Amino acid sequence: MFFVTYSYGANEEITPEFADAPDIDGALGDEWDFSNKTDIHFEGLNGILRVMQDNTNLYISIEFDLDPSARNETEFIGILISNSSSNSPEDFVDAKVVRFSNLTEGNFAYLDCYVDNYNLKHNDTNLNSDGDGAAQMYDYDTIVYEFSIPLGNTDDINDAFLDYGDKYAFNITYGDWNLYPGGITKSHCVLITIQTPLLPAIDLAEIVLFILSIVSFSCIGAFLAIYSYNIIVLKKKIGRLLG
Amino acid sequence: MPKFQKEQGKESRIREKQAFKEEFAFRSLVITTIIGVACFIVSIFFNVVEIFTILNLQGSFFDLIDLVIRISVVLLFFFFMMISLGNYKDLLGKPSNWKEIAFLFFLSMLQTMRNIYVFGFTLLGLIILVLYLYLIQDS
Repeated sequence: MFFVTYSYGANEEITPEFADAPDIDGALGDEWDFSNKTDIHFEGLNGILRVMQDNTNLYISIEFDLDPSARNETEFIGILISNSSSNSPEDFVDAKVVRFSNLTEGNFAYLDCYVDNYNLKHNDTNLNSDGDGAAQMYDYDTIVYEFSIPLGNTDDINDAFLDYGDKYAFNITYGDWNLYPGGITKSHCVLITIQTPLLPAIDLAEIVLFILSIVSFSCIGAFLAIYSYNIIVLKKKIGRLLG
Repeated sequence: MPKFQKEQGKESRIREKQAFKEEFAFRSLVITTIIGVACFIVSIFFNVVEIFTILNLQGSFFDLIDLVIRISVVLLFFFFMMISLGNYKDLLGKPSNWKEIAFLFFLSMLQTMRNIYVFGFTLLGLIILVLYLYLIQDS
């Protein structure tokens, strides 16, 4: 049994909206209002997928309701990242996981993993794991998982290189961590196109002030040059007067 | 005859004294102008180029240092240029008038336009400086 399995979910194509970086705390605050919302279906389990990005990170949140009796104390959501738009198991190279160690008490951990021979390895080579993840449960039937995934080149060879302008397959995997690798119960695949970074906003007032200050300083410089010239002329005059 | 010689000697001493006074005033004029121009050059680096931002020196400590330097150089520019202008006018035999002081005030404030805090504190500093110079002149 491999961790990475074929996903039979529909391959929705998502183009993330640009937004400010949210707090990755599982709280699903107002900052997610600007995200691209998609209904996802985990083989019978319905959820809402929210995706957005800024110039440096991709942000993904998954929200779904599940009957308390169907939940596991050590449940997890893993986001497996393909190195292309292909959702074949062999193309998934990277994984970001949030797993609960005790769902009732809300204890969870974020794991920056990589995929090796279809299996998940959570000893990522980089000790300072890239990205971030968090989860929070509401009323024991609604749960929100949030992820932050770095874009562009990271310093970790086991991280997926999510290049701007390209499309990548993301497999959202749900299951019970303690039963790994057999605990995977549901997965869903989506295609996300990473948007090219926005150029920094041009502050017109700042430019005007900068130009004005250059003009002002040039005028002051010209005044000082004329003033210095007058001092030299004065020196000659004094020299003549004093003999 | 001896009386004429005595008066001639007195005149020569007065002329020497006058020459020494003018020499001293001119030297003061040159030195204060050089310091004023140096302050202006430092002001370019801090108030236009924003050297701390270019060198990526950020944080509350560097922000404070940056602010203090920006304000200080403009106040020193005003102070030395005012002395310089006073000496210059003195050598021409005319007193400085309020228009020249206002012009220097304006030139100093022009240097602070990029930062509201620098503008505010410099304005306050210049007002205090002008008041101080006015009061010591009266006394």
